[in-house]
Amino acid sequence: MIQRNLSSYRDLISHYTELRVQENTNLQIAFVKGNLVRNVKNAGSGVSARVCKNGSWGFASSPELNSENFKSVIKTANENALFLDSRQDKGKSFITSEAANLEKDFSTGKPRLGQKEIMDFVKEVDSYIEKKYPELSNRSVSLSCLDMEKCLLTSDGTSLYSLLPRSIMGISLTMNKDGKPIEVNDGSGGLGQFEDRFDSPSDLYEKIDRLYEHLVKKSEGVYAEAGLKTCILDAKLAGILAHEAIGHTTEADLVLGGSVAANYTNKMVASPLVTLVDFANTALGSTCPVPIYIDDEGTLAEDAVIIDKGILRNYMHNKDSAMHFNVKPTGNARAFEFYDEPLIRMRNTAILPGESKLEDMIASIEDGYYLIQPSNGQADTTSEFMFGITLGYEIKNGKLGRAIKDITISGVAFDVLKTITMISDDMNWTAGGFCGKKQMITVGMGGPAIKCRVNIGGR
Amino acid sequence: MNSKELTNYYIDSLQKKGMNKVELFMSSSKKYELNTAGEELTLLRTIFDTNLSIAAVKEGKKGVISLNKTDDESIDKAVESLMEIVDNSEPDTANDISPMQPAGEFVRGEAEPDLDKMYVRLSNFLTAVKKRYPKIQLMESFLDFTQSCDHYANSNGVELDSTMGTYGFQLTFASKDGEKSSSFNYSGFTAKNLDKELLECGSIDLLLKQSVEQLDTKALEGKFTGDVIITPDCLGDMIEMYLDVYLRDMALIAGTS
Repeated sequence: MIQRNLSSYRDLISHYTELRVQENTNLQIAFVKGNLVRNVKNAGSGVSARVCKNGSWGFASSPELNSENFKSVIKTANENALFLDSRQDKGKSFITSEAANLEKDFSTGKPRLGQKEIMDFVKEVDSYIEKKYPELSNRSVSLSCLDMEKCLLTSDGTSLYSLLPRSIMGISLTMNKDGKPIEVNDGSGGLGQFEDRFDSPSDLYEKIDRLYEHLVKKSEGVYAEAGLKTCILDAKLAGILAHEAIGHTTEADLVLGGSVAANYTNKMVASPLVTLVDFANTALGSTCPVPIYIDDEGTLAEDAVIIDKGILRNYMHNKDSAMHFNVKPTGNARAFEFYDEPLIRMRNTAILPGESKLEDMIASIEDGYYLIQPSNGQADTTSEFMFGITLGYEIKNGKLGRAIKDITISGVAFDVLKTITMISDDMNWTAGGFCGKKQMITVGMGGPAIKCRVNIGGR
Repeated sequence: MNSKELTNYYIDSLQKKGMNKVELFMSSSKKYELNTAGEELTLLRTIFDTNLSIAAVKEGKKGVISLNKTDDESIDKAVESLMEIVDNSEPDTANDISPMQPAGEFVRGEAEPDLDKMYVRLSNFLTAVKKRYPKIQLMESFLDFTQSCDHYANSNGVELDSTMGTYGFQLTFASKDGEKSSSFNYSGFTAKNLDKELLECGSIDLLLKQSVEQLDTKALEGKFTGDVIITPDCLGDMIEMYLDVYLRDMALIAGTS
């Protein structure tokens, strides 16, 4: 646990300063084929200060949380800013923002479970799979519980305390078919500590059983046909598309670095059905997977509407880029560890739900695919993307057909968005997502299902 | 306590508490990092950190805990937690620590950064890229000096020490010409010193040149089966992925390798 208020250090701050104390704790347990392969607890905490002097930044951090060290870190950050300023003399003044004060604590109100109870829970899930599906060639059950606890004080007068926990359980099932492994996987969980996300192992059994059914169908599956196809991308895929292939191109630092989105402001980049938002903390009346109320620069977080009815409207900013583009920052500056500086990051990125029913969307396709589960993927600043698909089905004459083996899909995301003709009326967030840039960060991804045209890398 | 005294103390203490095998890895590091955004030097970062990782095995059951504090109170609390993790673990005869081997001490690189030289090298790099490749858009780059002092000890009597000071450089870039844009790419290197200009190190110059050439690309139609040339930069990533996916313990235990 860290202190919840840094106001006693206000007098140490002179120039533009962000003073942050942070602790990340992580519990990881993993079973592979009944073998416990990971049983680790990590904790890392410290203090950092970031200072701006005439447009040059200095940052310093230390793991020691005592007053002397707070002073030392602020002093070093100032010296670092001065090192650059004395050589560059940018003469840039910096925008100050409105002070905000907030405490957001998502820790559980239930009694905390010990290592034994948590281990027993994971073992029971593993045991259920082993007993019910003994023919599997492999099974893996993993648990990851990450708590991010932060306390922030800025020279603008903003103060924040937040504890954002996330608990994710991953299940992976494998069977052999004709000597080759066939695998499916899925995750459960989201915002909240273990006690709030996982009540009883039996709550997961229905999902495991459904996953097994998919596995059996996939083992009897066919190769998809290569080429440009009409597809339904389910929520997880729509989410990863929104995040990777569109979201990153509209982060202001990448826009300034040459992303294709620099040419598209106020232009039609998608079907008019598409509105794509990077939500700060609340979407459609519910708390998002990674709720940000004040970012790590002390900016009050607001939603960033990236695409509005098909038109590219906004980028995601930190204070520096917002000043450059002469807009208001929306609270996208975030840091992962105490020793990381805030970077422009997405928060909870999704296409807004539409008005169609999934069954009607499937019924509307004569020859195409329903794509459900992504593995991983990558995207370019040109918005070209390529994602692995580990679960999907044929659609033939408006009905779901055979399962398909692993494939990749690719395209130019802004072109794909223009082909969207239907969007489902529901919203599903992925259990857990991480984004890598210079540093990792937790992100929320999700969406409705979308009907579009995309390149299938089949046989 | 210095790191040797600390690790020996806790190995002894954990063995007295019933652990059969114990290993500790302690690392203290300092990093000085200059960052750029676009064509400007933007940030100087100084990071001090400590990492203590303790693994213990009791009757085949293993647990691992890590923290970034070295005061007695924090470590004692971590040790209590570790014992709970171990007691509630699963026995496996494969859980082990390295056997006895001669003590070793390894020292390499400088102890302190030359910040002025780092500044000059990075400034020169920005100027040189702008002149040689005006169509290149530098997204971000960072030049850092990291000194890391590592100490490993275990209950078999192994003691290894390493002190390393290294410079590292990474950059991400693309090319842009009007509405034409290349894919983004990245490169970097690590070095003992900054004797050479950054643009002359690794394959940075070559990749920047190729990025500009990639402003004009042709789409491949259909499928291709045939010989391809995989460059050193690509090959490194491919080998890393091959090792990660097929040759690490998860894939071998799962039988999916």
